[in-house]
Amino acid sequence: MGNIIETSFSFMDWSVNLKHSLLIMILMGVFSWVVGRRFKTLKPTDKPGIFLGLVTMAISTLNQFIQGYYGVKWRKYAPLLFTILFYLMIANTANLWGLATPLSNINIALAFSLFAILVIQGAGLVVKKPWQRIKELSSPNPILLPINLFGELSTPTAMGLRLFGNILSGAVISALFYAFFGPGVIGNFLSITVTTALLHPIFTVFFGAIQAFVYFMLLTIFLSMVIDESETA
Amino acid sequence: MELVTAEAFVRAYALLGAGIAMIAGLGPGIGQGIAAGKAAEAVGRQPEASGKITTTMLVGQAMAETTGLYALIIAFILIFTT
Repeated sequence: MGNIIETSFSFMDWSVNLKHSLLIMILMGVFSWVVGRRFKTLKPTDKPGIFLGLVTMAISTLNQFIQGYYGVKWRKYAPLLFTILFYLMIANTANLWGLATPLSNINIALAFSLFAILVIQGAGLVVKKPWQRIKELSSPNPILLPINLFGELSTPTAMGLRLFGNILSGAVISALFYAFFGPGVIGNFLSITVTTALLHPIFTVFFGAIQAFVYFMLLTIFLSMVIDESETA
Repeated sequence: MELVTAEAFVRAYALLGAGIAMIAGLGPGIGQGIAAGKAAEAVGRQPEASGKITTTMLVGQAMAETTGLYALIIAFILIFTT
């Protein structure tokens, strides 16, 4: 009996970052579904409200940004890239809503590295034929193939580690300040005025949003580099 | 007579190593300062392109930060795993 309960509740042992990451994903899915429903029922002659207007503006800005990199085939890649940006924007600022920041767990950061590797290399193998990809990787000289492969793997790894380092350093500095001011009336006052009011906007909102945008932009650029070369070659 | 236990010795050197690793923070600081200075020059030359310049500068600075973040990760590993 105890075994069944243990196995059926084994998700209780998951790290808090993973649980909150899944929670964010579920909320994102519900949000996207609701927005999609509202767009479907919106008539072309209707005037959209301020919320739908903002969503439309954000999506059209991003679509233009992606069009600049992908040319005519941008529709294939825009949903994936937009989902990544949306998730990272929420996940990196999750501290503000009392959730644990998912990216401060190195396993999730490395999952993002792995995701970038798989997306970039998978797109390279699908858009080009594998033989052409091998030829391209050993382009100046076949001796350079291992070095080129290493370079292909190291940039996405750096992308995930960059997210991890930024988010964790912000969290650690904030935690150090909270611990430094300590309990008590004066400590609480300083915690709120200095840490909450000054450090969280910098480390959580500003750096989190910038790192989310940087990951999104690097994924866009590397993916477009892998794909574009086939059209010119 | 033992002055220092082996664990304390290892711990002390790990903390010292974490401190030394963070000397790498010099490089990103200099690099980001150069980037910000060049961006200020560019805004002075072309004030109408300030939005694009700021975005490019921030992305470039976030890229330049990577080496410092590697040092930080190594320092964290040294502090928290020994």
